[in-house]
Amino acid sequence: MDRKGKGKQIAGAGSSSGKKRKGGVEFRDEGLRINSKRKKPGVLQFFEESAEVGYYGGSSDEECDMDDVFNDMEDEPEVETSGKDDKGGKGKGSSSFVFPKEEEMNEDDYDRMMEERYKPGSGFVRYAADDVKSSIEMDALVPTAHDPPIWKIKCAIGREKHSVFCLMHKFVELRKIGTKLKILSVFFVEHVKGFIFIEADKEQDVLEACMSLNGIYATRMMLLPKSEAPHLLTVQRKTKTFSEGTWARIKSGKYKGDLAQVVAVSDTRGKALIKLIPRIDIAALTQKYGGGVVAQKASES
Amino acid sequence: MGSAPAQIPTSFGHELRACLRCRLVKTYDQFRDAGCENCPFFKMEEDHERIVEVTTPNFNGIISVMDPSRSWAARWLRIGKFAPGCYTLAVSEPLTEEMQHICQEERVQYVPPKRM
Repeated sequence: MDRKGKGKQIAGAGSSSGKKRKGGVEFRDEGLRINSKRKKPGVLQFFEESAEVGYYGGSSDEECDMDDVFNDMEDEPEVETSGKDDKGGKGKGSSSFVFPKEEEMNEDDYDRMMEERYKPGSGFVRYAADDVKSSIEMDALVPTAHDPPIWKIKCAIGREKHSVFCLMHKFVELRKIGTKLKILSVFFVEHVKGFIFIEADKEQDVLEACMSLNGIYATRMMLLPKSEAPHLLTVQRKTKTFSEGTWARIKSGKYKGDLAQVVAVSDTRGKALIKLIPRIDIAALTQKYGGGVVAQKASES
Repeated sequence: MGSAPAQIPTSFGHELRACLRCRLVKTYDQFRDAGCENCPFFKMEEDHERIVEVTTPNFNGIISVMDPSRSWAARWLRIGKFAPGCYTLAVSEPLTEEMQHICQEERVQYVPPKRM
């Protein structure tokens, strides 16, 4: 493999390209270039690198080309790229890869790099727990046969939230006296009105838990299919965000049915400022303030 | 018997707030008295203004978790490691940058809410 002096001679002293570079390689924190498809030339074959190609900012076979590495070293302008193997059009904008020439690297640079890598808050270190959690990407995790079944129980409409809290209180109180409420969890979903969902191993546990609680009709109980569970727990953003200038119609109160226009929206508070035509009862107002001319004829308004 | 449960809300009105990191639901007063059981580093019981910063009244859905270690729903919602208590399914906004930084320093996990 004739690489015209750029390949295997790098580690050795006095290579044709080596002498053009200043001593010590500026090691970038972004990471190492990986020759994913070729045998790593020179010292790199002994260098253990992570296989996370994606992490290091994109890759393609072409970028494994050693020549490009030299050509693309942007922060070493004094490095003359040997024009011999210049493959022109392969120049990449991202020069975020460097060979770690361990023997040649500056100690200070190395320390600095390590410090930067492992300081808290840097993205470089990934804990096993993180990977586990993201790989079990919760959206894809459907309950298995090992997971407890979920029961759908009829509940008084409008009392779902109350029932959920109630059951939690019952659990805490029973716990204090040493009894254990056997259900694992209970939840309700905003858009499924009139039902609460209880996670429990046995139907009997559910019945015991709901016993003598007002508003929960445990006799009407159904088993939820396992595949539907993740969908339930995914909250749909039901209120569409609307902007200023949107028209709206009032649903209840004095102005029921009236047209209104949105003037300002506060998402964080879940409120909007609207303007509408006021309904002012002149007769009532005048009577209140005791003034005005009373119409001679009874007027119908 | 499992870890000690968090305080359970005693009222259901507008005082209810959800912690933006762990999604625990309690009343403002409860956060003020005992802080967040899962996020003690926020020190809500010491700095009352922090309560407004790290909790929100905008949340959707409630789940009462009696046994987080065994509950599939708790694991799915990423609250399987937290104390038993009432949690919300979703909060409306993410933690501020400053608070996220605190989470990183404390090496605790924080997952921002998904925008649908």
